[in-house]
Amino acid sequence: MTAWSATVNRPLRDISGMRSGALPRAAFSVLLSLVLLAPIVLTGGTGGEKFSLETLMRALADVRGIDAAFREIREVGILNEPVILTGILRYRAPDYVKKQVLLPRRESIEINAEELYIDTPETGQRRLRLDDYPAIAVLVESFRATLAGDLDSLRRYYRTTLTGTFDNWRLRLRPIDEAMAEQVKAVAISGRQARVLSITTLETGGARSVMTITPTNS
Amino acid sequence: MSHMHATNRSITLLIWLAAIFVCAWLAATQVTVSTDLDAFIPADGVAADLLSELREGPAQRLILMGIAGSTEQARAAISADLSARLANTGLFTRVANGENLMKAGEQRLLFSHRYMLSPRMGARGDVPFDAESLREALEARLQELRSPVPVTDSSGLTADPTREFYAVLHALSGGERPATRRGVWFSRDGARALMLAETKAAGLDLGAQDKAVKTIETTFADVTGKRHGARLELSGAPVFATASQDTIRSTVTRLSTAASVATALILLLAYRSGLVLLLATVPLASAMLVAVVTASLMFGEIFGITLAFGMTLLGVAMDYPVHVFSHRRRDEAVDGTLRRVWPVLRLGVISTALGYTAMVTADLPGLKQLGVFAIAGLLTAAAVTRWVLPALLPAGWTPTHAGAGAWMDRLLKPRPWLALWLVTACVAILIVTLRSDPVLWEDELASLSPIPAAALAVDKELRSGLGAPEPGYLAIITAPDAQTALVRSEWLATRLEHMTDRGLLQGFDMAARYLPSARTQRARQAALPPPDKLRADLERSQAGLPFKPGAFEPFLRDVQRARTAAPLGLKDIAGGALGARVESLIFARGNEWVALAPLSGVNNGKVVAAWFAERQAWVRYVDLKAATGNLMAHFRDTGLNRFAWGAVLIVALLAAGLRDWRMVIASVEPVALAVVVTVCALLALERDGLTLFHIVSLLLVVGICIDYSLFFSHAGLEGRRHTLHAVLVCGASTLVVFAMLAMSSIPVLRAIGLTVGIGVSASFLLALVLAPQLTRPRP
Repeated sequence: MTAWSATVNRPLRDISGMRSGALPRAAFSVLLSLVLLAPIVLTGGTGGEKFSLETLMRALADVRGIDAAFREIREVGILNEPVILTGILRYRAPDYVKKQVLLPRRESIEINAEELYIDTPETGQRRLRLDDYPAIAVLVESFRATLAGDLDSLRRYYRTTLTGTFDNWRLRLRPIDEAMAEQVKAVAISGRQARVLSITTLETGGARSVMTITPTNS
Repeated sequence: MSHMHATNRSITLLIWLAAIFVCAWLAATQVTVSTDLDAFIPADGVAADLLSELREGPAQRLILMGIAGSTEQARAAISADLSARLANTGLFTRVANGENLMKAGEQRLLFSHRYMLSPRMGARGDVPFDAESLREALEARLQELRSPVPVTDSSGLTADPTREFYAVLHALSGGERPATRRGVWFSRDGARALMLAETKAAGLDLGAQDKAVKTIETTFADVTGKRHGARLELSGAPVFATASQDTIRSTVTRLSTAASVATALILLLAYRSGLVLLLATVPLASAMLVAVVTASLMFGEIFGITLAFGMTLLGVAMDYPVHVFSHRRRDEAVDGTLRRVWPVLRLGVISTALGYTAMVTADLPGLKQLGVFAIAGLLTAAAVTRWVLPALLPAGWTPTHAGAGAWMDRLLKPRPWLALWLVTACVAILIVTLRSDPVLWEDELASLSPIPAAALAVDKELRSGLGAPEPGYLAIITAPDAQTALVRSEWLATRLEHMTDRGLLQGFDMAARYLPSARTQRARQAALPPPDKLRADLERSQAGLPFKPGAFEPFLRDVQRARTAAPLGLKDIAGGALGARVESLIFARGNEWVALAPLSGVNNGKVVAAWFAERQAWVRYVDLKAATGNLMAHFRDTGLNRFAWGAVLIVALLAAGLRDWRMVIASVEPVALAVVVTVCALLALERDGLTLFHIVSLLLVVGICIDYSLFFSHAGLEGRRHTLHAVLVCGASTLVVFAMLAMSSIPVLRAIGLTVGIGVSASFLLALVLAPQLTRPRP
């Protein structure tokens, strides 16, 4: 640090009382300091840290609640048109998620810690235990853990791959459990900074579902 | 003379040693102890159905497991680990802790036969897969694809839009519907993870079942290793059988050690000689060896029960050398003593052995073997005492008769008034007992079981949590072949369902539930629509729904194939989870096939039994409790019958041997009175009645008492002290041993101990007072 400040200061003194041969040396010093300063100037906003899954998770964990509209487009092999679901997504840190579908018909799935509530027109509201439905639990965990910034939980069930930058990141999750992996190939979550914008689920059978999330609160 | 005597001695010893070695070698190589109760029970008549259930019934092979303690997560993890390891041991036909995982090959087989196996096909009536039902199914599938979390597998839809395969799997899990947490079975309150395992070993094969139970325990210890706090609760018929065996074995070991020590002490006290101790065991040991080998060779194997019982009965063999020792006089050779003692001893031995002959004629293999065992043992003991013991005794050796003295003469003085009083007392006891109308016979098997109440409580909790059937009620169908058995089972199923609706029982299980008969399968096939009709109906049902045209070609293809496929048979499913399930419920026995239908939650046993009684001959109903009660009664009646015959034979022999009616009465009267007194005392003490074990022990009492009364009635004035000393020593040692048995908590041992303990005391008193009285030389 002291060498650096010395390097910064010296060119100024040299410029104020310059002799003719000192110019190339001064230019070199300025260039050097610019090179050293560049990473700090370029990243901005992360307080000086490198972008990684840990930093992303920390940023996401700071978000205490989300109210958003979602639009899910599901392509299923045997259907000749995609299934389109629209509705409201609500999240409260650290373990409350509710997916309320409004179209094509009203139904919802709501998770609150260990409890699972399913509401359909046929069965009405049913209260179940998430533990009894491990398949649902693991799938829901893929985005609940992401929204909550819970890296440990995420890594327990998925292999994680992060690409992109903080402004435009993409997290690819592949299930660790073999039985799960037979059905779901991967879940890809992408977003900007601390906002999750889309969740894509790829099934091994070829079916694909893309859910885009538009936050209604800023 | 003495030289020849010495030669004779050596020859006798050599012969005896040779015989012992041969027997020992035979015992080590040829003798197998069978713990299989199968052979102990007669295979026909009253017990045939009972035996079938006990031997092959699935309920008798079911082990219930509960994992308690630690955290819920740990319990679930242990459950998964334990079930995987147990499935690999090969000792169980199935191990279930939650979803029954089937191998891929078996899943494919069931999937391809789903339209013949699915129970819903029968309920659809004559027209399955018409346009309306297909529409319903397709709409439901569409809804699933549109649900907020579509975790359903869409790939199976094209071939199975009505989810017939799920219906088949659902039916397989049958009656067991425990609560599930974390994917494995748990009790309702979550305090225990639940599992069950069905042993390959049959219900009566105690040795193999013991192995299975022990394997579970060691595997659990391996699995929990570092996870503290988790404990395993086991229950079920195999566990009870194993626990009973262990309890009995440890108690018997403890008691025999104590008994041996006590007997040794008494002998030492009476004779103050270590040699006596050594020599007294010679006839007994020889007797046991020969008895084991004889019984084993005659029957092919020796039952564990016979061994245990027989060794008890042979305890009387200890008395023979004691008589020799007590009658030893300083001035005579050993041969002389024997010549004095032998006639009486011989008579006693032969009459006792004759009593056991009656048992040999019984139709129960167990009693037969016991009879042979006892006879061989007793004759050997007597022979060894007569010929080998003198060869072993140093010439002129006379042990001290410690305690003998003038008091004996006073004791032995004839007391006519005392004799009369005693006889009157016995008659009085008899009258009192008859008047009190006691419960005569104990027929409940449960009373003989040494299982503590705590274990039964655990069993109840695990059973209700798992929904496992109680091994109580069973319907048995017989048929000439497997398919007929299945058809008949299906007929019975409809009737049993009616009964369930009426509340007479809660449920039932049978092979036909998992594998329908070929006839039913073919009927379902015939009802499947022809391809063009199905295609037309499918198109109609698809109208307006967003499924791609031609999406369900696999479904059309599979239905078409199912219309002509061969029905699934027993051979096709053998080896898998379904096969194991079915094989425990339908199997070949001899030249017929047997299908079992365990019933659960029978509320009104009488009504159900009455209904079955009116049906055809090929369906029978077994109430396990009642059947075992009948079996116990049968055993007991046989034993009683044999006892009576034995008594008659003994009296006849004594009459022939003694040739003096006064002597005969002198020998027989104390015995008869002793039996009467013993039985009355037992009826007073055993509130619930007597069992077979009491009767067999009474035979031992008779044998002992005959010995005493013969000796007392024969004793001349000079020999009376010796006789008294001998009988006191015999009586004391017998009493001590059986008193220990009487204090045991195991009902069978207690029965034997009480009977013989009381019997010996009564015998001694009665023989002492009555026998000399009756043979008192007329003045």
